[in-house]
Amino acid sequence: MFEERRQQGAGVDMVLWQAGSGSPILYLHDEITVRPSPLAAALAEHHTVIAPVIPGFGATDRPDWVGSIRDVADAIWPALEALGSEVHGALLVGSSIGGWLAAELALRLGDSSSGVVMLGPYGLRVPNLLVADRWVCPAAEAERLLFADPARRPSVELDELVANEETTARYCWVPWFADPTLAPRLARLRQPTAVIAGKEDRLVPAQHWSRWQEAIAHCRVELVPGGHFVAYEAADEAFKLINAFLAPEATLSAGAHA
Amino acid sequence: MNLAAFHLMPWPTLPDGFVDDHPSAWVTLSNSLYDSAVGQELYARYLDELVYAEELGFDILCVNEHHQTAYGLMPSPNLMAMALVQRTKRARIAVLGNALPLREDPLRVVEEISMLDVMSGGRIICGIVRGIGAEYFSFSVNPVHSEARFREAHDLMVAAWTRPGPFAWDGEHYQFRYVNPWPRPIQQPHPPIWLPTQGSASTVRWAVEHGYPLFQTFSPRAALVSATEQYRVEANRIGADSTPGLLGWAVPVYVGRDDESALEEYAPHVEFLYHSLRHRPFGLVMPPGYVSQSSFRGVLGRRQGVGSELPTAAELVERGEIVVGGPATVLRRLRDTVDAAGIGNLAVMLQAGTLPADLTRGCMERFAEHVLPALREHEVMAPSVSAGSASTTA
Repeated sequence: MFEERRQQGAGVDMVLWQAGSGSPILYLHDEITVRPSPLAAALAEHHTVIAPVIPGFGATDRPDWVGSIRDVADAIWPALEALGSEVHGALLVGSSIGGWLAAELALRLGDSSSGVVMLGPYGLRVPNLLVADRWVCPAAEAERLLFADPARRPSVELDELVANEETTARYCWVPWFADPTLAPRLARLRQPTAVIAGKEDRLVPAQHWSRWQEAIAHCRVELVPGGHFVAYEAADEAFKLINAFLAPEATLSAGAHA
Repeated sequence: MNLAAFHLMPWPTLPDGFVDDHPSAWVTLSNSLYDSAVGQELYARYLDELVYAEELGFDILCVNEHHQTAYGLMPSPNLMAMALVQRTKRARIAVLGNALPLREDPLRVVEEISMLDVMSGGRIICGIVRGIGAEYFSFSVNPVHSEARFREAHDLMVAAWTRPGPFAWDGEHYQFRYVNPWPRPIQQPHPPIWLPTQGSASTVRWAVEHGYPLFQTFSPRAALVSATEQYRVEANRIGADSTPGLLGWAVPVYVGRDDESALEEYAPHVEFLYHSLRHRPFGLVMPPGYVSQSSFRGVLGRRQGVGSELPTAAELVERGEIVVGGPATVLRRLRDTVDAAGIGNLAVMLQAGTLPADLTRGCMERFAEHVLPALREHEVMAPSVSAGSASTTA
């Protein structure tokens, strides 16, 4: 049901996947695949989901000057702006590296986004609590870091796998999965914000979630079953939490705060 | 031909069951296993072996660079080269580092090589490498920039040696307001630049374009022959030189009393090198972005057919990755391979893995007496470049 379209802005030709109808959600994929996740598919049953492909991932081009998630946000922001009313008031939902990008985009969108939901985001520097290294270890150990239930990993073609790995390294190797300037910049974020993280996330130390709460006023943290990639391992739980987050009268359950 | 003595300076003791219990001899192998008292003895012994190689008549002594590993104990090849400068008189010293992209300031390498060249009276050969994949973990250098940093650092290095300073370098990866290194090398315009490599197609092409000698390290005979063939094809294509003096090979060699005792004596020691010291997960060898996406896809594809079993010494001999035997066998095999590959520079590594001092000395002396003189007189002819091979790479 997702259809591919393109949007240009400031010299960047952005690929977008779109499906559904209803209030807009800008969905930012993770480093596993640019194809819509089970969570994105579920959201598209009730919303208009617009899912840009992050430059460098999949088969997309990357402007030469783009070397970080902050650069990515600057690069794709004009194309997103050009979508105009289609994304006005959109909820930003981002998975893993896409969660980090969602935070950067929220800073640029300001009041024209209705909120930010980040699923196991990277990006904050928490001294001595680094994101685990998926590349230094044997493959079986890497899989254990990435997925609590490896059966939930979607299959990905070799071409995409290689592009996604390289692009992840490009944006995350130095500094290691973090941008030291992000936390102070986040202080001006006013939108309702939530972090949803897997209870069995072995990739990102749980202290990162409280660091997000310190950095952003009104940031909630919700823990769900499963490992790092919530969009595959806990799509149903995340779907319910996001719908609750969107309902103005509802509030996220307070009991699950980290 | 030129005869070089190569040394890795390995750490020779690892815990029992190491390969099963530890994921890697690189990066994550705890340095709590390093004992500095043993280390002091090892440096003294290994350095003595290289000094002895000069005495035995070798033309070139090779040091190299590796980091955070038991594989080799020379994180700074320039320091080891300086120790050799002090203890040798005649032999040239090939620094088969420096891993330029790992340095924040390649100008420091320029300064150190210049100092070495001046203090040695112009005996330095300047090898430059990208550094292996694992070292991008050790230095937190982004592997996606490896090749671009290597090329720019090289350009900066050559500019620093050839353009009168001071000048500004305003590159993509390196920016220096003032480039003006003192001292300047004795060899003008700069010490010879060599390229130690595993023979990737892009590196071979780049070496040819710059007229640099290619030094193929530790690979099966077939890979050596194919890389040197590619060098000649590329050279032919652009009308460049590809004489044997531009090609080199680094190979573990053991000369015993006879073929049978040689393999028996050597096998456990060289297997320690291939099984334990080279033990590391794939991701450490090939981090994302270290090679182009198309090369990476090729490596991943080839990997699927490769078993995990470790080669025995006999299998390594079989595929020509090491040369082992009595003096006559070693001479014949080396001569066959240098002829087939058209190589004019042979670097033999006469200590490997856990090979102890007495066996190393015995091997060195037999090599010097029975193999080295014949190889030195041996005139290698460049194999002709066939039309067929040229068209396959077009």
